[in-house]
Amino acid sequence: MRKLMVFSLFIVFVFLSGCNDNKNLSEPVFNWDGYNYIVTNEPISKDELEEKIGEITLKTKELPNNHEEGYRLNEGTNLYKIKDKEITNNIDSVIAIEIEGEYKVARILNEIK
Amino acid sequence: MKKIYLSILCTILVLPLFFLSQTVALGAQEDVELNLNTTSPFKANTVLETKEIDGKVLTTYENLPDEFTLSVDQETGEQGISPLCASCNQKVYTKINTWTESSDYNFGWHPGFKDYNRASGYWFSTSTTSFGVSVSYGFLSVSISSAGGNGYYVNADYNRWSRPAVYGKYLVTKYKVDEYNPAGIYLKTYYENFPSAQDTYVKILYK
Repeated sequence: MRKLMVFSLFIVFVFLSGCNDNKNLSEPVFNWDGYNYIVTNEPISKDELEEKIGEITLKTKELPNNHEEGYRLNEGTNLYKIKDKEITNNIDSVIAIEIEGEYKVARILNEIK
Repeated sequence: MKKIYLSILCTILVLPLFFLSQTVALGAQEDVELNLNTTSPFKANTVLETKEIDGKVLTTYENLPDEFTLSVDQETGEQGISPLCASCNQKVYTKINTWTESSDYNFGWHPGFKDYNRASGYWFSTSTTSFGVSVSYGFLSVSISSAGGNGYYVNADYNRWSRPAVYGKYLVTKYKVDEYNPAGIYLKTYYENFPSAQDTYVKILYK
């Protein structure tokens, strides 16, 4: 009976491990001032950029938690402020990012509960 | 005691399977509704359909391999990827090349918003669903974000009527098709083009 219990608990543990819904996004994400921004495919021209504000300093394997950490982003990837768009870290905050010579819009990642 | 314990264990093991099957069924239903009356050679529920949980727009064909085989039922004309069809012709696809038809193509309206709105912004989830569009090279299935969970917000001008549209790169991939009869005897070779979408994003359009 004890062996059966140990075995069954092991099986349950394996099942519950599989139920862990800790999915990572397949899109790049970086952290700015503690807030995560998801990189969209929305293009933006260089003319619309104001200035470089930083770069990815650490490539993470999970969604980032700290400033300038990047998930699916290489270290040294440049981040830019967009003209007339303040980085407020509010729901509509945007930052531009340079990936392989192209500039894209990154938008703050929110969770709607 | 042993019987009670076993019954509890069985319940714990079987319940996740039930919920898993529910999820698959709901996803399949969604595809059926979205892909009716298409000329796509792939059924929405084949393994060639790919769905990723993210905010990116994906297509049915986006992850097609360089080589793959389809079975063609001679009676119904239906195609599928099942190799267990004794009366089916086999079509072996080999990728020739891919080109960009348009780098910023309008794939149509975002299906989550059926009409123009007076809104200050739109919220898009990072989970995906799909819809179909007709392009010059045939039917194309595009996946887009749907409501719920994590997502991002796109501003809009409240003073104007706005509606989200899906834009992105419109690619076409040319495949060489070698067709064989059920006995494995070579029949013919021809070429087929497959449209696909890549790097798609949402753009707010105004009236």
